[in-house]
Amino acid sequence: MADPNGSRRLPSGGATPSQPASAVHGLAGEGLGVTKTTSGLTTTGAFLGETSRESGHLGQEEGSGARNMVFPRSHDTVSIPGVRLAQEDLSNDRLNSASDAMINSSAPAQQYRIDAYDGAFSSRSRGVTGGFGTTGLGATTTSSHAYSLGATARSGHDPAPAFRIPPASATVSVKASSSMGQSNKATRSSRSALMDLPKDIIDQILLRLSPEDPKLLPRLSLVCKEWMNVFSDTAFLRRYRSFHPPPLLGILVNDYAADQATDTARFLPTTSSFSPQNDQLPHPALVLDSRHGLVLLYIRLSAEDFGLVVWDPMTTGSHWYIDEFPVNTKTKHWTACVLCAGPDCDHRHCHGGPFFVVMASTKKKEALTSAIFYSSADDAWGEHVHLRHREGDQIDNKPSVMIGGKLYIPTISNTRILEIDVHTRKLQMIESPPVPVGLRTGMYARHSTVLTTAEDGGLGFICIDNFLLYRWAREAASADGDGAMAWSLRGIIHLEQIPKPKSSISPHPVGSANGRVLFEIGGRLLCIDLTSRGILQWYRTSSFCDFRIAFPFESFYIPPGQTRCCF
Amino acid sequence: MAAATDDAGDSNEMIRVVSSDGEHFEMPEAAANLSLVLRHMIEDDCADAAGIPLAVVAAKPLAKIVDYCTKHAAKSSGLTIEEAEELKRFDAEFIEVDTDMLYDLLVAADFMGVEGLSKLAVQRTADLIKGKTPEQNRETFGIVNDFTPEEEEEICKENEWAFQITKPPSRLC
Repeated sequence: MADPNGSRRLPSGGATPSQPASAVHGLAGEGLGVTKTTSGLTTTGAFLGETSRESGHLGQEEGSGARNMVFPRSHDTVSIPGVRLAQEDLSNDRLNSASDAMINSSAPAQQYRIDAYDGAFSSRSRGVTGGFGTTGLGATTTSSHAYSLGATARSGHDPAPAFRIPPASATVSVKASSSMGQSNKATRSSRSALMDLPKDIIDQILLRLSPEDPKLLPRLSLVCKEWMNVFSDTAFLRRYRSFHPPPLLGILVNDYAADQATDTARFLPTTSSFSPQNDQLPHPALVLDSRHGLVLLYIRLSAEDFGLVVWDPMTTGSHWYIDEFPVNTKTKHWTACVLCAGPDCDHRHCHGGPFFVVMASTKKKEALTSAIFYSSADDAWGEHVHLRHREGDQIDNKPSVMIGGKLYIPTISNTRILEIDVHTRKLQMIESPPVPVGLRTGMYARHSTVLTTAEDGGLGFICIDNFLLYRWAREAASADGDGAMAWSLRGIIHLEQIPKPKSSISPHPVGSANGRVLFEIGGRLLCIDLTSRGILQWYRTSSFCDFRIAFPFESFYIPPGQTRCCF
Repeated sequence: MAAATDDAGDSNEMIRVVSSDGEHFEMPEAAANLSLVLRHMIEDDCADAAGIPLAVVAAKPLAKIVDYCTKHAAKSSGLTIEEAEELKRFDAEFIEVDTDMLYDLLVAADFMGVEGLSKLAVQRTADLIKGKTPEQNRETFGIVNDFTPEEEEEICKENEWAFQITKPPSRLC
């Protein structure tokens, strides 16, 4: 390899630069004179004004025996719409726990009346601490039987005011009188805009914006300052990343179109937002794997000069060259996989961290498969681990999948799958699903199957035969938890929507990503969403491009000039 | 609204609810149980012949919610693939509503603790936001633009990558 050490270094000493994840880049905007909301009190206060106006329920409680829903902090802790906490040291948690204590000590409830709402239910049911305003002023409680009490007394019961409006707070009184007992017409008309909804609901909505287009959040920051503040709040962004799986940003394939003699890995973008610079992808190179935001490439300059490179497409110029090639090059059947080395990592925040490369190879004559681990932290290969198996189980270079600390690599016959336990480094062969009756060939053809992650997170297996897509999931064989696993056929999808080429060639699966299966037919790369069953055509290419294997690139996007992802 | 009575213990079949504007609705107990609030009320014997008053839920959204709960309660367990798909279709049609109704459903479902409906309405709103420009979003959702033109320009500049018009991938369909 030509001077591999020249541009070496991907993970900075195994550590990530400690720069804080800085939200939507530059949006917090001190220079704009915009105050960045730090979450919590200020924002809640602002929303308090909105919600209390809307739902209007600063009422006296009524009904004998009703819950004694006394707002635990009396008037000196609150001032109203404007709105700030008078006592800065109050935290939501303290308020809630105080509120709970009051309720628990109150008389048992017999009757409730629900006539006020301000969002506290959602806060509680989702386990999120509700805003100060919503919990307090709404007179909604945080107990398991939290009903908000309204102003209108039920007939037949003596009003027994338990929630008093502090006389000192004129604003409260005004608010209360304007909302007490008023009809819902006023309430409804005040909800004519999205931002009049409780903050908790707006947060839930913004959390569900799709991460598939990395440009979406920064673009939506332009809608209003409130949204800009949300999208630049690191706590929100952390929740956002945890909520969504890393989105598919592109597909890596090997292209032989330009020159049959040269290996050319290509990055095919699937969004308009992200496409790495062409010169970032080493050439010549073959893509071997892509996982956890990294791409593993095989560079072969000559019969003697070859090696592995780990490339981070999100960071300019980050190529990690692995000097040693631990497998005899005469071995025909080998493959390599890349994966994050973080223990118990959810792969949402591990960009720039240490990684493993696993190389597996089969000696066909000896029916012996070996695996060896490379650790970026040690910059060294470990020891070979061996597994003897029956003949014909040579491993294949089709995409592997990683499920719960285990790496699954397909074999050429497709009848068995190599399982590598990343923690214990143990190998074993597991059986593929039984060949379904009705398969044209009576067996799995080499390019007719692909491994996937099933919808429940377990190992999945896809076979496409004659426009029929068979879908299996590996699950516990019995409920008694003995660890035995079995395949269950989850369904057969007829790929009738695909425009069929002139030849009668059947599509074949080439990879999978986020509940979608990538497949090729007649030089076109398509993708089917297993949930919606919608089919997208990604690419059409020259007949030379090898679409037999495709590796999805899934990662949260990192804008140029930043070291961590914002979204 | 009628006075509450305490002899509501045997309401195993139909649960009555009353909207803020005084309309009465009925639904099976299984449907009412999809609402966290109604379930607690039923458990506490507060569901009486007069109906449970829901003073922040108006008749229009309440009718929809009763509809939703009734449909989902009838198909809650042991769904076949076809039934699950039918329910999905029902949801998709159910949530095709204007923004005012959407707001009402968001708030009412959240208030009543109907988790499935909350998720449905929240996702629908997110999907509506996703396909719109900032200006269209402001129009649709009644949001006031509180940026000055200078601030807007600054944001665009600092996030240039997000506002660049790039050629989308060569998708054919």
